[in-house]
Amino acid sequence: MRTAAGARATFPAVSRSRARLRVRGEGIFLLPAAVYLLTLALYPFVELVRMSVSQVTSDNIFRDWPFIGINGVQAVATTADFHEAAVNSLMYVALVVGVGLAGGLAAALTLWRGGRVAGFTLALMVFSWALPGLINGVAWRFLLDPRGMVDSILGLFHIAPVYWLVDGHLPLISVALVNAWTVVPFATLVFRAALLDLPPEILAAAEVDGARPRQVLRHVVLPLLRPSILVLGVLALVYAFKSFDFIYVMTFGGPGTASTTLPFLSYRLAFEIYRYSQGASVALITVAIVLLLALLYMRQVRREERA
Amino acid sequence: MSAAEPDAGLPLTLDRSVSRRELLKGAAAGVGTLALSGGLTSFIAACGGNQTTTSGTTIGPNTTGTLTVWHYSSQQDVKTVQDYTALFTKKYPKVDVKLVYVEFSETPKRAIAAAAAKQGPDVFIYGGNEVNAMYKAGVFKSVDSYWQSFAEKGQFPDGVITKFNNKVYGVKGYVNLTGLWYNKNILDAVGVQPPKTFDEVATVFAKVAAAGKVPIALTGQPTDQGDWTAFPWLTGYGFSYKNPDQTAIEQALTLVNEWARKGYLPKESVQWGQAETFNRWVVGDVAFMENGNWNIGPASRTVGSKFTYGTAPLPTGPKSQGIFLGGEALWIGAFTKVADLAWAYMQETLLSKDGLLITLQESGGIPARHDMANLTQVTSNPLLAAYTSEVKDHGAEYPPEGGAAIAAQSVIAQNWSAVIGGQKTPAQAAKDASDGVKANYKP
Repeated sequence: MRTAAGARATFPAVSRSRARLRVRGEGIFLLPAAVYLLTLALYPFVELVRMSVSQVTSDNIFRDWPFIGINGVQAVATTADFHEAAVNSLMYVALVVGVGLAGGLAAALTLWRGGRVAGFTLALMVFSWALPGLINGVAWRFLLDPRGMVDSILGLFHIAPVYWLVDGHLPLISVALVNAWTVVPFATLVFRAALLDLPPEILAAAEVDGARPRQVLRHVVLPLLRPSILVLGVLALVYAFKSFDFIYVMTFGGPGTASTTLPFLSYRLAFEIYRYSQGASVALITVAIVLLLALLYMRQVRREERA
Repeated sequence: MSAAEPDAGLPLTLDRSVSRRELLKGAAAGVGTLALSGGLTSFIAACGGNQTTTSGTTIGPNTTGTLTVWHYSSQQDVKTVQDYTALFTKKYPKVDVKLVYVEFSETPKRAIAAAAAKQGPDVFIYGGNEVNAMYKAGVFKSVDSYWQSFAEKGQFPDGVITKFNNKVYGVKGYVNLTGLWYNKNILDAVGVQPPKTFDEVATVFAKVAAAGKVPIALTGQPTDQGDWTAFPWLTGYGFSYKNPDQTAIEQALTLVNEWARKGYLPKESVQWGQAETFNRWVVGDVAFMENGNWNIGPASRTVGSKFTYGTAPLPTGPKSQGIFLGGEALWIGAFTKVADLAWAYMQETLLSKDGLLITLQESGGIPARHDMANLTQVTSNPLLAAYTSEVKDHGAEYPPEGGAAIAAQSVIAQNWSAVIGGQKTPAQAAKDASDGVKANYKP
């Protein structure tokens, strides 16, 4: 008994030790990701915070940075340029998320049932989604030029050139729509996967009850897709908010400042006129907003997991 | 930026023995004299002996090594840089020169980022308005010791020598500026001449537009290229960075806004840099283009027999006009390990007669050397005549105020772009520009 009891008593110790070994082993595998995050995410973020609360110019960029506290961030947040960029950012995000998700849902519904055409279309969409933003942006810049393909086609119908990227406030809308166009394929894939997961018996029941397709969509499909819509919405929101590449190549924030969003303002302040502290302050505010959205996303994911 | 800014008006620690304005005046006078002398002298190839003594080290034809040169010459004018390198390797055949293209506006950013890692090229070919920021970030190495022992330093006017803290850092071998290019075929067909004053511009443009042609192409980008293009029109009405008179700005912005509204200036010019402006003009349906003398080489290669073209001075306004004097300087990178070779590259290319001849022939850069004053290539080139007269009459310091106006320049460029694109009315843009320059320009 004693022996047996003693033997039993050793089991927990052995399993704890094995567990520690296992944890250590797992820790090694986590190391590359940890190093990656520390060097490429955490360290730059700490430097960004430090720069935004310091006085940093070309004079001292590689020397000591005098501490100025939160005043710098507050001062930037009260400028007219910041307010204009913030409003532009909100419009931009609303368009990218709205059009991106609506387009994705429409495409997913169209391609729901599969088939060769659907497969080919999905492959094409994934291709356009996988292209780097800079390449997409340059391609669309040519397409939307007054002498480009889009206006040329409109010209065939006697429609005057639209000046998508150069006239008044239209460039912000045009760039946002192009950006939304890159969101559509991803949204389509996610929505289509969710649609394929829908319980067929529920859909069949709705049909048996005499529901029309529009009613099925509104009262059955959309409620069931709600988790996907929420998750995708937060992801698209974060993506749109930090978008920089399309504006950089398509309008450079212009004409004037008409398409300058917060990330682009941050770039301009830091790298066009070398006001590093101001650029960092704008970036910090942008990061804070994106972090807030990311937290919302994580909360939503956890809620979905629990459900 | 219009509200309180922690960095606004960065105190310039730059200590220059002679003010930049004085230096540029010297350059203007030097080049003007050069251009107007008109005499013919035979060109004698430079390059003294077979060996170069540089800061105590002797290098020669057997010197080996690798030299990295950053430049921003696009495909249209990259031959110039390639020819510099050929000139250099003719004398130093065992040196491997690596030409690295870095886009113009990206050069300062990448240079500063590289300096943070104590890296960078051996030589920069750079003539933008951000040299001050680059110097402060420690991007450049002083060439003062080399310069002081350079036998031909007396050939260069003070205005092309950039000094920081009383030490020489960069030297421009030639001067570039903007003028008015014209398509002679269109002008002949319409029956007009290049406008000489701001008042004449509207009439000439109206006639061109009535003939179904595009009157003008110029840069409307909200970048320093836009500011460069806008400056002659603004100063023609009395603007200066020290005195950003709102009325003067509004007059200039009204002018360009009307061109855009009436279709004289394509609205897409808000996206054009100087290269895109040139590309649009060479299509052949644009009567005028505001652009630089560096297009002389590319124009001869690209336009060919498509149409006949010429250059004229930019129209002048009621007030004293200023046209920025640009041009590329050579700089040695702060972290080079082959400083002697880098200096040799400077000497053999943009500081030598042969090198400047390449620039003159390939891209129309006006040589700054005194002893090239009588060159036939300068005095008898009809395309250069407009530019050389502008240097003398309107040459203005670039970057303005030694680089202290960089944020104010950005404000001007944005408002220039805004009125062309229709984002703002000329009155609103003029107010924003005037307020913005006052807030951002604190020398």
